[in-house]
Amino acid sequence: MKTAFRTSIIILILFTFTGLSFASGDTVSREEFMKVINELKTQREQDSNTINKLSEEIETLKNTKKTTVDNSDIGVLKEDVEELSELMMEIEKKTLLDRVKVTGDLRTRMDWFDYKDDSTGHEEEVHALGSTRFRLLLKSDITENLKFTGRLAMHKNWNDSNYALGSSSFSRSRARTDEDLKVERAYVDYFFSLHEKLPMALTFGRLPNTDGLPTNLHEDTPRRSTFPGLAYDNEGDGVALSLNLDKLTGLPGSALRLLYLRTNVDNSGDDDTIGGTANDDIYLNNENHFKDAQSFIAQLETGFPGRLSGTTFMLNFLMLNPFTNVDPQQFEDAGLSSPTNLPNQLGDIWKLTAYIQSERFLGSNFDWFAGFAYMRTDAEKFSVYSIGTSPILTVGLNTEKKRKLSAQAFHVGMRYRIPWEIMNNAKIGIEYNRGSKYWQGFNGSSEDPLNKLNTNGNVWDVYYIQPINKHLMLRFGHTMVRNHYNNVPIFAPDRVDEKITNTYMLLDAKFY
Amino acid sequence: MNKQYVILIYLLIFAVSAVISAPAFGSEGKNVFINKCGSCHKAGGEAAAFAPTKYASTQWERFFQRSKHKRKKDISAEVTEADIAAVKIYLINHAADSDQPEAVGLR
Repeated sequence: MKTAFRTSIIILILFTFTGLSFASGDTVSREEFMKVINELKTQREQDSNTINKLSEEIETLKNTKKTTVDNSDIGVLKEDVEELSELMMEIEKKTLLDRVKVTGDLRTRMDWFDYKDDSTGHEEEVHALGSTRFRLLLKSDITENLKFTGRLAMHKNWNDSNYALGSSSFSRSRARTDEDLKVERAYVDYFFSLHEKLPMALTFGRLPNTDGLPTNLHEDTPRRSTFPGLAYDNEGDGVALSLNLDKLTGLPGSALRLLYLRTNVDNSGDDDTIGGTANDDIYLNNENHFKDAQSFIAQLETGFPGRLSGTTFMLNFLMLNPFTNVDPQQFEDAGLSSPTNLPNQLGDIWKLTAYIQSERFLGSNFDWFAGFAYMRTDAEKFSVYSIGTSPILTVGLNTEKKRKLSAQAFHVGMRYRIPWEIMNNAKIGIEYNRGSKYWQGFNGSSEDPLNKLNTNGNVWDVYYIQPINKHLMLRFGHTMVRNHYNNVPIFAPDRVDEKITNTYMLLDAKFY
Repeated sequence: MNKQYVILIYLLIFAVSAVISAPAFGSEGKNVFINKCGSCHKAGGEAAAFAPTKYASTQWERFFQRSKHKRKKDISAEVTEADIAAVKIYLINHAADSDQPEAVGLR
């Protein structure tokens, strides 16, 4: 059919060409005519080849195996999707029911202690003292605005299950005692806002007041405490209110934090008579003979933007009102005679601390910090403690027969991140602190066995951190304390000349 | 002068010179996250704002391994390979399962 059609077209063209040439009166030469015929023949061949090629392609397409999705494939996919959906539901349910995230860390430490009193020549040493610290870290984002954080800790010397260090309620989980797991912190943060520019948080429970800054530098962890260690480092129960000032100041991390901590009344004596002063029908604790003591702490803190990001400044004000009331019973319990004219209340203490810490200062490998604290004690009165008629010590809150006394301390240091990849992010640090004659550290919960921030003298501390991997870390360190006074809060300081050194190595494993 | 203060001064001089001369180590990732990622990922921006705690560290590893960002937008013209490597380290180090700071009222 196609061939006949082509042939008729060619004949028509020939007749047309011939007709036109007759109509114009022109004649066509034989050569010209043959030329046209040859051109038409060539075109015909080309068309023939094209047609053949197209035919072959059509055949190829016809022979290509068809891929169609039939109903059985859709069915299999549906089953797979349903199975995955059920698995996801189970996983989601487990996640929703797992309200508390539990992680932990384990530390093994070895210490070498040396002590020498240059004034008396007395020397002591404790070498290769091993200890273990195990902690469970608990976190829960209960809701978007309610967060729980807790830390249980066990800390003990190797193979010594009942080493009594006279731990108080301010350091029970931090002192090396026994295998018991104790609650170091357990608190809830409730985030809310009364105004869109002033988000706030209410915190209650056993508050995060231990591991004061810059502990995070030599422990190689994020910040773990509300306060600088120079200001306050004690376990404590209380309530706190935080005001987030970011939107008001434009400074990242700026906040005002207000804390209230309290030690409740203890029984004084065993007066159980009607109308007596004892409270043992209501509150039966009769251990330390301390009376009401409360602490108020206010802290203003802020970060900085831009090149100074990583820098935090804190201004901390602490007031203990009163510091403590003294019960003569505690002297009798210690087998001593009661002081005469013992003050009913020792007095007040307030402390102001300014602290600044910068990590990766100006984008460098340096971290550094500096803190300065000023403290005032205001004794209610003082009395002379005597055995018989011989005066021994003066009791009355740091007093040497003076009502008001001041003290200062400063703490500075730096840490350098060694920028060699082969060292695996190792760090080296150095710290120095100095406390004056009447200085009181309020850092009874420090895990530092020498409690260096409580020193009435000078301290140098160097350390080297060698990470093995993300979860395992070695640390070596050496601390040198030169103590010039032996300062106990309720007595006048004694002049001493003590040198204490601590060399240690520890291995930390973190399960987070 | 007290020997201890002399030591402190020497350390301070060393620290200042090291700050000036030593290259930063690990801070580039945060800068890339804030400046380059943050140019699109912000409130009212081209993409939703997010924090490194959006994913756990393993999820961030998978995100970068499979180049998941390309599925939404190819940003190879705007960020270099070095930028991607740096921000990957930053996101993993600050992921949802990373160690977070603690203090009263700290979110």
